[in-house]
Amino acid sequence: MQYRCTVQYIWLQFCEVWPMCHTVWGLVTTAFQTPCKSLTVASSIALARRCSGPLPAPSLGHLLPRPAIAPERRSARRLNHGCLLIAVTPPGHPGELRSPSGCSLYGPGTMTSRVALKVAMRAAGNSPGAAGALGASLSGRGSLWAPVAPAMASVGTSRGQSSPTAVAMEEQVRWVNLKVVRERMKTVSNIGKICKAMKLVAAAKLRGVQSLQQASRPFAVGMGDFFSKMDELEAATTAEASKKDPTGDKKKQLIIAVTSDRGLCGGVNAVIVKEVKLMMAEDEGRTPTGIMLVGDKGREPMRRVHGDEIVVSFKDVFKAPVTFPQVCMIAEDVLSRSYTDVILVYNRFKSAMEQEPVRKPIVGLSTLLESASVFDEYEFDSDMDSAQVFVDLFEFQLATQLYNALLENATSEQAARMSAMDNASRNSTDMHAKLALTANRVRQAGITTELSEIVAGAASVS
Amino acid sequence: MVQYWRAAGVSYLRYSNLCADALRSALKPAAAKKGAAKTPFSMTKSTWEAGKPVARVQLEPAGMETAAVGK
Repeated sequence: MQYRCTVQYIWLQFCEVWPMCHTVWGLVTTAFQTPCKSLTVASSIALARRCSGPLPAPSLGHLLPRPAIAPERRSARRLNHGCLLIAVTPPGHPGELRSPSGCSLYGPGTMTSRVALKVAMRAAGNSPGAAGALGASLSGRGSLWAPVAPAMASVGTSRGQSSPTAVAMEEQVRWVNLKVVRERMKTVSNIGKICKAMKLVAAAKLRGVQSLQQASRPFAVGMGDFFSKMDELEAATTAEASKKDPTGDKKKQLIIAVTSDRGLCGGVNAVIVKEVKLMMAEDEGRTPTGIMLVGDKGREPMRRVHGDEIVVSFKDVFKAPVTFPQVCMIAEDVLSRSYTDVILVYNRFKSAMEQEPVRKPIVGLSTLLESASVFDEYEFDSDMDSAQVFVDLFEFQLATQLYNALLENATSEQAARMSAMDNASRNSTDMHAKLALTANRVRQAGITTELSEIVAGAASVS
Repeated sequence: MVQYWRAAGVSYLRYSNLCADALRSALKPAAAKKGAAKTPFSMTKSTWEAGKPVARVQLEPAGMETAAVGK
């Protein structure tokens, strides 16, 4: 068969040159039912670099076989951002490689990443890894290509240039990208379902723990009111103490950081860690400090920075609803350590949308005993030493405040989880909608390409 | 006068919990069902030294077995 050489100059503005070449090539191959030995590509080197970065030069050889045309006719003309296609067509061919259906094969930005994949496969021969990398560099969207590489391995290995199986393989490759998008859609919708379920669970748990928290508040507030007299006194005594002991040698504080056991609950735990770090920074190491961790999520971030200060940690505290005997065990641990000051750091539940980290100092036993005279207006049992009552009261107060703090934090955790999961499930819906659009676009592009190939084939035969 | 339980080295919290347990166990079945049933819990306490947890203890409610039998 005599071939006539037709030269097409294709001007492209974007980096879609390789896929474009391939489409034209595919068109010719389909039309003539032969491996297209007569089409070659000359590209601007600058462009090749721009499209792909490390696009290997020999890949051109894989991409298109050496042309069987006279060197003088193979005039490759370099354009600034374009490439030159030389297509050799048989006699009688219109000489224009234009899509019969009129779809803009030559226009910029018409390439789908699916086509880029096929080019990449051709270019990389049988090496799927290289093809994946090249495909990624061609499309400029690295992430989308990673899952395609294994799929290509099976398709790419046995591909011959023109055998009927090669055509079938090509058909498979054509829909690979659609398959990837559909799989991702499935994943996204599954995760969305999980998030929604977690939100519902958090909402149910929130109701339960909120009623407990509301029941515990009067105790904490009542005790707080009773000891509110102490606040002024405490200020006075600390001032006095600082006079006696300006370096604060005798002072020893324990920070109880209340966090949750489980994650996926927004910033609830992060703010507590931040607050404790801030407290440590404010103190500048003047006071010997111990940190007690209640809940598992504060553990890792605290260990990294203040590992040496951590004295004890509790986990699985919030597995079952918090009970007072449980809190008493934690409080007894606090009592067994000799700290002059205890500061509770937890999230106070304001509303389902709002939680705030608070520091609640608990009046120390020594301060309480020193300033017992404030409570002279109260009557004590005659057979009991008032100091003992204060010791009891101090223990009870510590447990009550701790109990309230744990419940406030548990309520905040559930509320934060609820809103976090709500956001997550909404995001997954958005993402799913976007992916559905992409999938439809890919599907339609595939159909269009097939149609144009068929029409072109029919046109050339007739 | 020092309370006997304190003299025995029991804290107020422990004392009050023991009293509550005693009261719960003394309740008649109907009232016991109504009166706050003790939810079982199991938490882990780790003691830290020099930035590393060195000892781990499993904490469970005291006398939980008897409470479970009582139910």
